[in-house]
Amino acid sequence: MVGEIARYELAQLTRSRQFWFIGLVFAAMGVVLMAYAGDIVGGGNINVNAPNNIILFVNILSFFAMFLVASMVASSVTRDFEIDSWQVVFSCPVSWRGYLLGRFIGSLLAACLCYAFVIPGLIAGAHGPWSSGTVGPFHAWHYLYAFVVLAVPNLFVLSALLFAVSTLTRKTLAAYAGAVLIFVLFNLGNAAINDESMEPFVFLVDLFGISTLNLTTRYWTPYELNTQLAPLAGTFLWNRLIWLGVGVAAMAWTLVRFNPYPRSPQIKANVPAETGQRNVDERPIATQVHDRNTAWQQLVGRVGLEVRAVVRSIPFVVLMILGFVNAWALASLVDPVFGAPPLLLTRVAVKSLGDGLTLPLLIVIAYYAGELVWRERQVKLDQIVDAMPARNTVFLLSKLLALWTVVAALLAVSIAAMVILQLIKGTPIDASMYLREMGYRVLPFLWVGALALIGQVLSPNKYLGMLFMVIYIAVSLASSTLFDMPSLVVPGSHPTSPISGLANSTFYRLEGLKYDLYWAALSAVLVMLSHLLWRRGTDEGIAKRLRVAKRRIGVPQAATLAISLVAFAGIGRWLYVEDYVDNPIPPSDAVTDATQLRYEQVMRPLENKPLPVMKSVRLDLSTDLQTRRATSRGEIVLRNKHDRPFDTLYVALTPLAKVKQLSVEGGVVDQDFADIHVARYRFTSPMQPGETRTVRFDLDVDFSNFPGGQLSSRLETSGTALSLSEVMPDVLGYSSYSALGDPRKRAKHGLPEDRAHIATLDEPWGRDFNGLFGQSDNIDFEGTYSVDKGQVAFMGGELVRSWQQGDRAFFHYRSKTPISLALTLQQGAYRVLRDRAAGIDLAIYYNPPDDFHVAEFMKHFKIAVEYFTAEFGPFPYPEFRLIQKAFDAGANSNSGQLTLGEFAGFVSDLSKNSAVDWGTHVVGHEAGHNWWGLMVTSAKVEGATMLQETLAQYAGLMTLEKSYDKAMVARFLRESIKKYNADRNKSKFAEVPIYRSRSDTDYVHYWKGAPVIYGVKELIGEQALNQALREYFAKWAFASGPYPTSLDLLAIIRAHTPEQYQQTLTDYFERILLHDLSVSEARVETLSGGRFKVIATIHTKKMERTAEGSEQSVPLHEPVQIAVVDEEINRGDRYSARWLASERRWIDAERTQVEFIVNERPGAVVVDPYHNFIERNLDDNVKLLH
Amino acid sequence: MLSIQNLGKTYPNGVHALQDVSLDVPAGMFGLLGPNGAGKSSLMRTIATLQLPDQGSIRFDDLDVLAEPATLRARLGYLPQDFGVYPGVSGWDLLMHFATLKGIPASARRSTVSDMLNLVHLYDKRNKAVSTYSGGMLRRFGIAQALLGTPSLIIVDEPTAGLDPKERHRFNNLLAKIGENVVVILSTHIVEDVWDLCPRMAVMNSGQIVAHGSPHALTSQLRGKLWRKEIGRNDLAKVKAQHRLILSRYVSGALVVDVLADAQPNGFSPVEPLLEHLYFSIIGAED
Ligand SMILES: Nc1ncnc2c1ncn2[C@@H]1O[C@H](COP(=O)(O)OP(=O)(O)O)[C@@H](O)[C@H]1O
Ligand SMILES: [Mg+2]
Repeated sequence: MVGEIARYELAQLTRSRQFWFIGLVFAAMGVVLMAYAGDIVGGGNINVNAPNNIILFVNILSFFAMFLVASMVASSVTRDFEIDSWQVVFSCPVSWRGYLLGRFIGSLLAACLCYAFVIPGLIAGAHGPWSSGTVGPFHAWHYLYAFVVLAVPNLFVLSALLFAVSTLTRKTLAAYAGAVLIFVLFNLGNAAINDESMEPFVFLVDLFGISTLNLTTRYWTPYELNTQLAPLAGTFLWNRLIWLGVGVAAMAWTLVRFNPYPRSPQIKANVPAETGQRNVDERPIATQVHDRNTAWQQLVGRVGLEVRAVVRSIPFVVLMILGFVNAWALASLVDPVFGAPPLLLTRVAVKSLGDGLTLPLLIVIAYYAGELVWRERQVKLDQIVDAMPARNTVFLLSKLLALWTVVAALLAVSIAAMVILQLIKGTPIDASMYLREMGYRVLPFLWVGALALIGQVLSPNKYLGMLFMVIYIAVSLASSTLFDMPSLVVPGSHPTSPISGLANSTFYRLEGLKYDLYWAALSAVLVMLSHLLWRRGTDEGIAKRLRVAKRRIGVPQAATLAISLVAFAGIGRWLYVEDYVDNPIPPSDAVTDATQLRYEQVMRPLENKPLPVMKSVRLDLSTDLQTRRATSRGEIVLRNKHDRPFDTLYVALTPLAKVKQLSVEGGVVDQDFADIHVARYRFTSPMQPGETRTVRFDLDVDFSNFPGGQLSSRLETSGTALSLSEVMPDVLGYSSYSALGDPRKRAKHGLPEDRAHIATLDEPWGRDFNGLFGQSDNIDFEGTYSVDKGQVAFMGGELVRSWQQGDRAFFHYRSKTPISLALTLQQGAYRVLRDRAAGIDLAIYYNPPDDFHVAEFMKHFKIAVEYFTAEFGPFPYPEFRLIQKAFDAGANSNSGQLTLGEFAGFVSDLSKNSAVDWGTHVVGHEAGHNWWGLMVTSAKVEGATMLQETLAQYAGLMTLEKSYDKAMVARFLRESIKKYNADRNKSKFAEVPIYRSRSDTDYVHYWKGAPVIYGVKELIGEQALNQALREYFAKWAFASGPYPTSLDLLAIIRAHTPEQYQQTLTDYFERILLHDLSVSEARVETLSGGRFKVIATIHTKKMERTAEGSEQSVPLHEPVQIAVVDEEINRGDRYSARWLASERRWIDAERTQVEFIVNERPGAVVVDPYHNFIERNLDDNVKLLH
Repeated sequence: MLSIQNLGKTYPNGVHALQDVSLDVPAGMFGLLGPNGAGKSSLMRTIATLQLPDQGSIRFDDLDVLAEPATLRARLGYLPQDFGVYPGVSGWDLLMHFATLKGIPASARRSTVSDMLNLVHLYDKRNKAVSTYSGGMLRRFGIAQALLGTPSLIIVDEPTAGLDPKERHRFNNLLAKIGENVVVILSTHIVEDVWDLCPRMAVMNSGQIVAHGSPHALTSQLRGKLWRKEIGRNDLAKVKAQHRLILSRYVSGALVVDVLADAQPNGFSPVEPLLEHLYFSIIGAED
């Protein structure tokens, strides 16, 4: 009998339209997830269809399955109560327990079947033409495993829980509320166990199993991830069993507790007759008025009704709660750079809301458009309402307004959540920024609302209309990688405007609003079409509706339609011409391949060829913030330092520049590559060896234009940072950043794998080119920079003089010592903090409100400059300044001048003791680049980035160590190693040893580089390493070819390294190794005299990555530090604990027993406390002693 | 006066719901009688501007209904055969909303709605959600919305279905009163209602108008042709075979049959025709 009922239920559900619709949506989500997997979880070193990804995706989607379960399983019984058919059911000859069980099993099977649509979706996503990453071979088993081990148990548990809730309360709505509750509890649970110390308990709370699984696989290498499934064992197995148990228990509870005879309906006390109640036998007569006023009242009335209906519905309440939780989640997720999230300033909050609300809002629109448009039909009120004397527009607009209200409500709730969080955290709230920025960000959703509306009006049913929106959402989310001008082709989208606490971004929003105007015009067209095609009555056929539409078109309708169409086309054309034809996208910003391919075709032949070099630059720059224009005049002196003559010179310009004058001494334009803004000049008489030639320019640069409609930051009200190439002709030849980068795309176009041809360590030619500017070295610079009064301006070299004239301020700079071509022109309304260190004037220019850590920065900047001048080499410039830049979190280094993005440390939240002071590290890192990168420039040979970035990391780490302590460094290194592990798995570029690293493998030279270089310091001592660096500096600073390679540095370091550590150096720099260090057992014995004996077992493993990508165990001989720390470790973080004893010893076996005698009660044994080895798991290095 | 000419409608599934329907409906109550599936609702929906016919025309006084549906809606009161409501909206709120849609000015809205709810005996239930009303209450609510304002064309599709006899009676009286000066079209399968209320009527079957006129005139056509007999339970088949059976029913345990014949059949006695007889003579006897 149970089987009979189950079969019936299953058949009923699988026959319903809902089943197929939800199934198809799941399939579509599978395709989309997998198709974008390359961007979500990797797609280079890790296959998009790696077993772990499949499991992850199957699991992510089982969140959505909650609502599937709520609508199928949980409602299967409550339906009987809600439509009062229970009496019939329970009078049948079937035990009601059997009945319940049957329905449960049947509907659970249906839900599983429906969910199974995900699998073909994922497979199609991975192996279809849209796949975005590397794809491994197909294994049906991986999908089956994910489905059986994760999806099915999850569906079962969710079903049992929600079934219990809805059956015992007899309300389907309760099931939805239950689903929300599970979601919220799950999130809270996850937040609660986010702490490392809670990890052992994760598997208990983790209903979905994914966090438990993540704990198992998080340290896996790409090889393991690509080839292995997480085994159903250990805590993962326990997790599955526990939750299956919970499901069975919930089911049993339901069967025991359920009472088939519903409570007798409550009899309400008779409401006493009110005054309004009387006997009426005559029909009340009221005149009907049909004028504009009535229409207005009808619109207001309908909007009220629609909004009330939406707001009162459970899904809306759910949505609002989710919105709130989501906002808080977003706030905790904002770029937690190295364990120190930014302070929750309004700009940070707005940024994370802007990013994080897009998808929720789109889904909400897709869902509610369907609900609203089909509401009357769904409740069968359409005939009455459609026969009422109200205009179509009343219905149409009320639905659109209700839709917009939902959007606004979600936005308001999210902002409220952020504001509350800000109040809790005590950060300043900028109400007008919320208003301005969120106001701008909400506009696209209004236009999308109109799109969703017409979709539903045209669609023969709700589901098809929703599907239409699902497709739209997929396209719009991918738009920035699909189209060069997404804002012009994806309905409703407008360019994202950057957010800053320095720069006033009104200007960007005004530019973006042009696109809103464009889409508003389209929305008017769509709304008018919706009006003409509005369903009024019971005719469904499109032919009938077209007939009606034709009748509905009067002069006003036709005129509105025509005007909005013309406006749409006209604005579109205007934007196209302005942002695309007149101001085409430069190759470096292009999204589609064409421009970049063209650039490479024209310019790549110049790569690694001798070119004239830059000797000096004279630049007179003047900017006007009102008109957002700059004039730039000056000259570049070129010299032929080679031994053969040159016939041609390629001159590239920024697309924003209008040439007033441009001349190459002794040259005429020979060919103009206008599409990539490059002109080739031919010398009438060739440029002879030793000869100099001057390029003179006079340019108007119009920063009020936005090539490709991309609102990227340029000339700001404060925090401007311009590069030389933005205001000056570029004569350095091929720039690989303007060429197509993605290796997979390159292969498709038949291009060599790498867009930059970098010499290998064995190719001598590479030594003649430097890694930054080819053959150009430091230059003599002189210039004036004229800005609006109130602004401070910076160029290269030293300030000679500054003066004011009228409402302009002038700054004259000249380099006494030649400076690097890496030159950023900056201006802004700053406050300055000055100090002095090692005879150098230090200055920090910052946005006055962003003074949270400026005093600390200066302290640490001083420490850095003192340390570097003493330990690395002399600093040639009299001033060293650090300038805040608007918008980003990036940073860079010029000779004597550093640029720090406003989100790079200035606004970090350092209130937590264990927070890593990222800002100080960046200051040290960038300052260090003056030595490592600018004064010593590396050869354009693989490993060049080690000489720049790994050494700059060392500078940053030493700044942290001297400003704080080694514990701070250890915290940083821990994050660094975690980042290395994560980025390596995500990267599209195969791993290389550090000494062969190149800019594409940044995870190697930055994040593996940091622990490695600090490890060398720990091993051979600060003295020895710094001595080596001093020698390296002395030998190579200000070289002008040949330039040094990583082999040169390694040779010097080796010379200062004792014989016993030579192999470790090789391991560090020349091999790809992964260690696994842990303390497996530890105990303490109390000795006499208040002393303690600690005995511990150290577990060690060493894996090497082979050429073909697999891993193998290699013999051990490692100098490993082991420490016994005090009991502080039980209170603070592990790095704050004091060492009671420590020893660096050679570890030669997988198991090593160690003994220490200490004088205080020990708290723990720690292996490799400062993270000198790259490991996957850094948490098992500690064993607490109790 | 409502005048319908050669109306035809075929649904996409091939059902010919209306076939060359022509009707003139003067002011007053007009009854539309017909079995399920005859096309009554289709005809009423077409007049109520909810669907377009494939051919034919509808005029209401000077108004071309098909060309100017909005103008007709301003004068229309319509109760569909079957409808639902928004969940969770109270009777008061919903009727107020309908009053707004009907164009009743704000000043008169509250009193109108209040009176209307009293009229259909739902005033004391006004704060309850309409979605929780019983079938009869929902029907009355539907009637209330149809009568709001001053409609000059009232179309009610099976308005009394599900009402208890007392309510039905009240509603019929109400309609009769209203029908004195506006056009009221009422579809029903309760023959008695048409007889009591409607000076004019039409019978529909299979999408066609098969009879049309005043109930009394139509009925009197049968005078002298209708005969009755009390028969044994097993004789029904025989009677059916020999006569044109119009009606058969049990009267206190005995089976009484009415048959149609020009001359008095043997053993039958004459009987005064009712509308019922006419109806079944047209659409065929019930089994
Ligand atoms: N929307 C529709 N689509 C297809 N067939 C319909 C539709 N509405 C009614 N019908 C069919 O048209 C015929 C007439 O139905 P209807 O007008 O409802 O008759 P009545 O109201 O007299 O019972 C029936 O056969 C019915 O099944
Ligand atoms: Mg009907």
